[in-house]
Amino acid sequence: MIQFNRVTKRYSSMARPAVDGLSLDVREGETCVFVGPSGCGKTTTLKMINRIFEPTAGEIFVNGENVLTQDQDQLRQGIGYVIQKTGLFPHYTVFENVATVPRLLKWEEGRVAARVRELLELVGLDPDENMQKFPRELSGGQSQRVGVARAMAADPPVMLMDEPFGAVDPITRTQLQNEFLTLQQKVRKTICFVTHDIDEAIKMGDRIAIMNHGQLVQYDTPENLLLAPADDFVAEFIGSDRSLKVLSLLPVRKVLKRQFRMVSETAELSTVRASFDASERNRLVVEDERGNLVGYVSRSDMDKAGSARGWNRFIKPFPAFLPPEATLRDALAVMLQHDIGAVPVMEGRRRFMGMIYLDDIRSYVGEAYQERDSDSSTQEGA
Amino acid sequence: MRALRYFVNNLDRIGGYAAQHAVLIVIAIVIAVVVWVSVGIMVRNSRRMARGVLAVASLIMSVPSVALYGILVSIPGLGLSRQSAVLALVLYAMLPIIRNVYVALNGVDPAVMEAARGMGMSQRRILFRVQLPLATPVILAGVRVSVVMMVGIATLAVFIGERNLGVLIQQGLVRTRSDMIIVGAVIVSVFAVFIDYLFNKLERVLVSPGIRGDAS
Amino acid sequence: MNWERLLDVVREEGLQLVVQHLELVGISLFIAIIVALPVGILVTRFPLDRYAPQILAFLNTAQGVPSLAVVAIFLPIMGIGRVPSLFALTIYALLPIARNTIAGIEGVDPDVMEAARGMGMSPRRVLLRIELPLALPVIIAGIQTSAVLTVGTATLAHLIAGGGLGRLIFSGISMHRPEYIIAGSLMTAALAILIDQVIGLIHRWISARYSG
Repeated sequence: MIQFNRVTKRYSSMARPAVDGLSLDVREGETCVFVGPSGCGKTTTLKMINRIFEPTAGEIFVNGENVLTQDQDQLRQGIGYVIQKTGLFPHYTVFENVATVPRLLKWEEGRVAARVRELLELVGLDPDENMQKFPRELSGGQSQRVGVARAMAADPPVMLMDEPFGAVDPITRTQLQNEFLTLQQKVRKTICFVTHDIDEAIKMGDRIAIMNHGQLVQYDTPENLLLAPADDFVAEFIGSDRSLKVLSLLPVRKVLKRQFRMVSETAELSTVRASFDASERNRLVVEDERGNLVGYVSRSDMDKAGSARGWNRFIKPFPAFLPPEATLRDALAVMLQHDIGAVPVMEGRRRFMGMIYLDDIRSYVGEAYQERDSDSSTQEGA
Repeated sequence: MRALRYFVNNLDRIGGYAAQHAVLIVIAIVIAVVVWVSVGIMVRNSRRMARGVLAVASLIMSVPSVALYGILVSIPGLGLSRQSAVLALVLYAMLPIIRNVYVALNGVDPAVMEAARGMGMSQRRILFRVQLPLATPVILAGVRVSVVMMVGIATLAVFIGERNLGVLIQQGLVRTRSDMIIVGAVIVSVFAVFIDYLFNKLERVLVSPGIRGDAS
Repeated sequence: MNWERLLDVVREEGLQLVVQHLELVGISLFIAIIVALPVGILVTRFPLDRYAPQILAFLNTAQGVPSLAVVAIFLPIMGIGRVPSLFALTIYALLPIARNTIAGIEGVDPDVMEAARGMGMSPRRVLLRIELPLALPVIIAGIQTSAVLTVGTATLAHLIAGGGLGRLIFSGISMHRPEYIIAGSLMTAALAILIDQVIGLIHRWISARYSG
């Protein structure tokens, strides 16, 4: 969808090119995050796509068309653009801000109004409450939402986002990131996103382009980046806690156990004991007749339970559950907090999907690293 | 007390002078705004040109008004006429208006300018839809300074043939009539206060509520 | 117009009138400075400092009174001549200097003041070592405005028999002698521009010393 073909940008004031022979493809519907230390050329790269900066050499194609041969204003009208400081027009209301590009494209007013409403709802702002406000009446988070709505107004297939969440407080940032991920699931735009924050890159990107000194160092999925950094620079940039980052990246379903030994709450004690004998685990999950999760029992309690009846008074409920979209990091956090080695995953309030075991997390991550290390020699740099 | 009596007894005459005063200023400020705002817009992207124009403007600003009137009436074709008076006032407005237009147009938040360009607005549209509306409070401030200045300087135009509120002071001087001098001085001062009020109203009409009160 | 006659006018009367004009400007400006500076400082001290904003607003409005009116208003009381001229010019010259002195001192960064007081400097020392030096560029700018204004206003002194370059201009107008008007106007303008530039130079020199 967006192609860089040996793109170079030189500034007369700088000895080294800001961007040096960059080639890269951003696939349709994907979010590509450009990340790197300041001065690495990531922002210049982004801004060459809508020709805020003109490349010194090379070609950039958006949707198969060379941006350099297109009318600059028309090109930009077709590309959503979000910047860190929002750049909202302070003399325009929220409505007028969002309506900017549709009006440039001469939409009729009825359609503009409908679109503005739709967009404000999409980014989580009540249209009636906010439409007539001026930017200075908005909080940082609200301004950034309006900025995103404005960029999406004419439904451009491509969006450029330059540190869009860089100027808000950490709590708002996390919230905006999550909202944006949900939004992107719905709209599936092709997005180029610049950040200096590797954690944000890992969270937001389908693919991450790590840049240094104007050159592309590695272009890969977050998972591959974390498990197999191309060189020392990437490894260092990702940080020494990259194994922890892997955990926060991988969804629990990677290690979710759907098939395992369970006991029914109506079973006889002997059956339960037999199950323990057949298992290495010290705790067993208990289900009711319809397959709903009840809780767990532990081996030691069953040893104490003398009579055949009433063993189920030893059933304990699980102290915590995980939603299926949780990450391994969430699972670990819950386990540590409650001092348990297993957590059930529930979809909604009732549907029991399976269990996450601590051992499985450990072995999965361990395996992943070993696998990458063994074949990292055959990997290509970019 | 004598001043008040003079004022009441000569309301018609004073009204006529005030009207003449106002007419001169209105003509001058309309021309000044049209010309100097255009010049400010033309030099907005060239620091060198702006510097040159502003240097000339501040030179003119330091020429005493009596001297400027004197120079203008000596120019063949102008002479002792309203043109000379108007031209002098227009010249004095050069510095405050051009300076404020230049500063305000270039003072628009770079993020706003980048967003406007990034959305594909043409240079022309950015100027008229973004820069000028955002610059309006500062430009208005420059116009206000000019008008207040003109009110005072216009009184001196009586020496080159204008018949405005300056007549009261000049006649008071010639005839040693403090009542006339006081009436003249007070009305001219009230004029200035009234202009302040007028510009506050004007700001309400011309400036978007989104940025009102930002420029002082 | 006859350029030779113009030069004659400058030769015969010009120099003498320039000296007269400079005397008017110099004396009134000098008195204005030695009056306005202490008054301005006083306004920023207890207990007057509470009214500083109102006094500033008043000074701004007073600046709007036309120079002609200021020159004229003392005529009935003081008559004509050099002394009434100097008096009127001084009064007019006071305003920008007093205004900028107050504004300059009020504009000193409160943090700097607090630091100075926190180090145990006496109020007198804070004024002399901190406030006045930091306000100096603004005060000089006030003197610059005042000087340029006074050069212009001094032309009006002729109207109350105070002398100066105004004589050439006004008599030129009434006698229809363009060479008089031009000679007077150009000399006045040159004088104003010269003084403006010189004080501007001093202003830049002082500002550069402080910011550098």
